[in-house]
Amino acid sequence: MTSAAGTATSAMLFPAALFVLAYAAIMSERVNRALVALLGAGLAILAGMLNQEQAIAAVDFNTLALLTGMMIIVGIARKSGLFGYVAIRAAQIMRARPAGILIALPVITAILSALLDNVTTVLLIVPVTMVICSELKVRRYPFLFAEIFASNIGGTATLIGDPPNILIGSAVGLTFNDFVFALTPVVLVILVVQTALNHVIWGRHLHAAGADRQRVMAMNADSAIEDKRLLWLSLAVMAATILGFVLARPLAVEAGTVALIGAAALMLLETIAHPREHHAELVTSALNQVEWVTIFFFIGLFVLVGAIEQAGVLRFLSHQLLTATGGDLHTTALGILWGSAILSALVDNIPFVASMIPLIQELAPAMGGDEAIRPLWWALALGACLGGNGTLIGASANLIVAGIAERAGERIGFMAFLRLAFPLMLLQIAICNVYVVWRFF
Amino acid sequence: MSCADIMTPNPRYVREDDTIGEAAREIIEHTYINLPVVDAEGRLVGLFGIYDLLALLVPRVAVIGNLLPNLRFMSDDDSELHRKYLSLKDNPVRRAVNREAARVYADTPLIEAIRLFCLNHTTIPVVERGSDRLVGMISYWDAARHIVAPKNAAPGG
Repeated sequence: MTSAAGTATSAMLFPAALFVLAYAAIMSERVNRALVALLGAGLAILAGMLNQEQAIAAVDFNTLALLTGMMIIVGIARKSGLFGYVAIRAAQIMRARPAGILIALPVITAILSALLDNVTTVLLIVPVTMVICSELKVRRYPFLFAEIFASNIGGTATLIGDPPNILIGSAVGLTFNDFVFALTPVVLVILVVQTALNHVIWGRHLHAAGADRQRVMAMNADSAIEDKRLLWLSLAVMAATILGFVLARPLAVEAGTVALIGAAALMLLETIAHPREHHAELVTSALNQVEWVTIFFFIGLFVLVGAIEQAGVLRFLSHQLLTATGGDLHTTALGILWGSAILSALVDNIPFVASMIPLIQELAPAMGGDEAIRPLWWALALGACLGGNGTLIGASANLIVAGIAERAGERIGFMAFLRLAFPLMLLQIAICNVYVVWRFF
Repeated sequence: MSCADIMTPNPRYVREDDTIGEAAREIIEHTYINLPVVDAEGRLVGLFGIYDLLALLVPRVAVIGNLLPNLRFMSDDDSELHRKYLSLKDNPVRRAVNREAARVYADTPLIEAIRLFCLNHTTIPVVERGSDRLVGMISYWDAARHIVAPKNAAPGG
């Protein structure tokens, strides 16, 4: 039921209305987003917008495998106490000086976020950060703000750092290495700039008494480790999995396959040291680390996007975009960069990117083919991931940090965050603008 | 059987403007799990108990769920804990009171109080319906004693 590219047809109306309705329901957060996506997907199939086979074909199983595999690996690794150890050692390397810690912990957050998911990273780093701040008797807000930013900046750097990148990489066939070569350089620049700004805004004013610093220096980082064997196993498997991502193309495997092999290997290594009767319990516990809400949200979303794609809505929209930019790749890339940054600051970037992918794919024939439109993918990834820094609701990690902080007595207000975060996000996108023009045109 | 039948009437309490130090002394002297906190009109504000007192001494993020697996890495310095207590003991107890604590009315059936004991593992304040004025405290011991050996039980029961 596709239409001529530039014409809206009545057949597009119901799929587009269903998508907009589902999108609005997801944004309202009144109903769990996985339920909205699944019910929307079910309605799309029942209404005949796409048949059962088309619905299954619309689901990107590589994305699901990559997310599931990494969730299992991180879920096991976090039990080892690795992250607490790293945070405490980093604070001690900085001689427990608040200004130094304001550099070290966000940099660690960025590195971990590039290799793990952002939410897990902040969940593990923020509590230790708060303990260190409490010992130093310094304000927690600068550290929390810096870690929110670092998680979104670091997550932008790699294929596995942030869900938008996973979606883009999987749909377009971009590898781990492609992301590292294209995005990591600008992410490093942004991280350095943000770290310097953190110092100017807060770091240089933060001071702790000698006795308080001494208490942080006296912390025993080794005691934060819960299970040394598991720590080494986790590190080995994470390193092997990342090597697998690097070698995915020569090995002719998808990143999702690598992640699931890594997850299965770590589950095997974890269980093998225990009596056989505990194996099922340990594997169940590892599988329980998978955030099924996210996985089912993705499944429903893929089908919903498949429905509007099938109806020709995205082809119509891509034609409108082409008309608006005059078919100029340069203008389109910068439009996507800025547009996706602003929108991702306001709405969930996952459904946004999921619907932008087929839309951009539709642009390829008119813009010189798949290779020629690569800058558009990098613009989308940079905009969607970094846009999350713009507001407190821009990314899941932001909300998680705000939630932990509030429960611990430190309120991060929406407007207070916005006043500083939004201009800083715009600065980051301006850096990306320069980079995209310099690197890809 | 209602809560009024087995509660301890006119319980000891602290006012919300009393200090944490005064509340701590009361809790320790009487080995209370919880102490009701009331406002100037005698209305229940919430509870301040031994766990609320101890939770003030550790970083708050360590006691708000499963966010930190342990605090073994921190230096083992009890004089620091005492210093921390001294730094907050003069604060009014209203700053640390648990306002979400469960409460029952005098006419609440005992079985509802038992459900709350099982969920919250703590003593429960009893308030007057409408005014929220504190009228008693009911503990799991009160409930268990009454059920295991009721005063008006039939012989051999």
